[in-house]
Amino acid sequence: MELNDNEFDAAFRKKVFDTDPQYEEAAWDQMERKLRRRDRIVLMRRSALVLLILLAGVWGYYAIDPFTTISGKKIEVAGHDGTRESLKDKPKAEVNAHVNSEEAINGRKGQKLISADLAKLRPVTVTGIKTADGSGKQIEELVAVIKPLLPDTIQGEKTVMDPLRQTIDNLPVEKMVQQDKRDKKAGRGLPLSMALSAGPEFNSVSRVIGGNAGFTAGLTFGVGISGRMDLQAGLRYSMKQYSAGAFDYNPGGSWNRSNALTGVDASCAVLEIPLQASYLLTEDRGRSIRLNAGISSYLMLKEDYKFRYDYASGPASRYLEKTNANQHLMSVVDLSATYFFKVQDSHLKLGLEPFVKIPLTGVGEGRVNLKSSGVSLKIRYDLERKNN
Amino acid sequence: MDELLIQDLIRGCRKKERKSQKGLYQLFYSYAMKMCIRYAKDKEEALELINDGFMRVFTNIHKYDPAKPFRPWLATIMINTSIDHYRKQVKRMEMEELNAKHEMEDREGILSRIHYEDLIKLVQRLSVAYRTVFNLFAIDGYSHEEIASMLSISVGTSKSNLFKAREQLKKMLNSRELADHN
Repeated sequence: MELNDNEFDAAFRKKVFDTDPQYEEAAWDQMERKLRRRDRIVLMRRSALVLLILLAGVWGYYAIDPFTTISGKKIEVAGHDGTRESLKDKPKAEVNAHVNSEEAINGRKGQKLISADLAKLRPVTVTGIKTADGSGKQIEELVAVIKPLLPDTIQGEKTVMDPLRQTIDNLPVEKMVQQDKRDKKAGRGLPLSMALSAGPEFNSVSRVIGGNAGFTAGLTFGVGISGRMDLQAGLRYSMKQYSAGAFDYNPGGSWNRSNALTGVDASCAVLEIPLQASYLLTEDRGRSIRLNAGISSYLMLKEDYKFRYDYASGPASRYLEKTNANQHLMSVVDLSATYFFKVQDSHLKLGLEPFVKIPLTGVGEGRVNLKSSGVSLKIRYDLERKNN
Repeated sequence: MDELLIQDLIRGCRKKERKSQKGLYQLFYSYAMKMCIRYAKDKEEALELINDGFMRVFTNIHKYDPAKPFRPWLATIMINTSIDHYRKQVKRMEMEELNAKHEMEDREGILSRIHYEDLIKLVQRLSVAYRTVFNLFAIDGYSHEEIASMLSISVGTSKSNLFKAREQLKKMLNSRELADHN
């Protein structure tokens, strides 16, 4: 008997759907490789994006006109007639005439010129100026010194000369102008730093501080985004050893926990990618303290697990090894503080850094809540010395 | 299939948990293979389609509505993946022309006697254009209008490709039956 088209299709359909191809582990292996490849691409994309934002931030920071305050106000110079002029708007030659009074004070241009310059300097109003070092303090101090020397308090030019010479010797405005010239030529130097750190790390599923000993070592790069704030990123390699209870180890999916399982011992090699902000809490000539907070990505390079079973009724210990199987992007909070000692006459600082790392998600194959703590020895090198 | 387990796995997939992804893959591998093997020229290509399809599942899992059954959503993704694969292939070749007539007749029972693997091999021997139209129409239940839209071909081409696919399959089945008798 012949089959018409519909019957042929139906017979075909039945044959196709009545059969169930068997699942093959090799197929999942291929799938997992594909997923890992994608995770790496996503990580690289995100890292590139963060780097781009950082670079844009740095560029933006250094693109700000050094004469412009954060609030957008400009340094203003007022003449006797009371008209206010922006120092920035003045031609450079004229600015130098205002501020570079050294020649005049040394008497090369006569005392009348000194008086004229004094008169010009008198009404200077300075609010929140960004100076060459970014602090604005020198300008404010200068104004405080100049004010008592205003003409109505001047008793005689000779008494005015000495403190004024001193004051103007220290005048940072010239420095600002020179700095501005340098900036225009070469751009301002980036306050970059790099730091090497290494030290013991303690890992635990139950406690934030303490646990099984491992170690961590890494290299980070920092860029100053303001006088006190740095952004840092880098790479850290850590060896994490820990023990987890049977119920702490939760791989999810089709995992069936044996009643005889008593715990899991783990040893994991992890590549950490930290991204953190560092705040300079306090600093003097020899020491400084920084507070750091950020978020890290964990790339689990190698995971070794030993499953311990109840000695009396359970099977022998089972071992599991995973390579490049788990990645946790932006999923661990880093908190630390660094106490730096400056090495005299160099850009080096030595520091001690207590830290804790708290995961926002389960870590590794067993998705354990793995906390880390420890103290690292840190060596920081400032690629460009800051003015402060 | 345990719907609770499926939803649990999907929740894990939303959190990008590898174990849940594996669980879902394991659970629906057979179903996906049944779909993709028909569109592929061999098992390796079918596996490629399955993995491409599951990659879409994992990256778009947030778009899945848990109120609806998962299987049809997965089927749509697998078929769309197969069609994308077809499109890539036809870029490299022109749609095949209709040609010679075939007068071979079907015989009752041929289909019931043939093994699944052999049947799939017969489908895989069809050209990619015939195979895709035959699968979409005869197995997955799409209309010629839908197929024409999905594959960017005319309704007439869809019909003629289906006709040719059936003819070739019948011919292959007959040849096979004759060979078995001899």
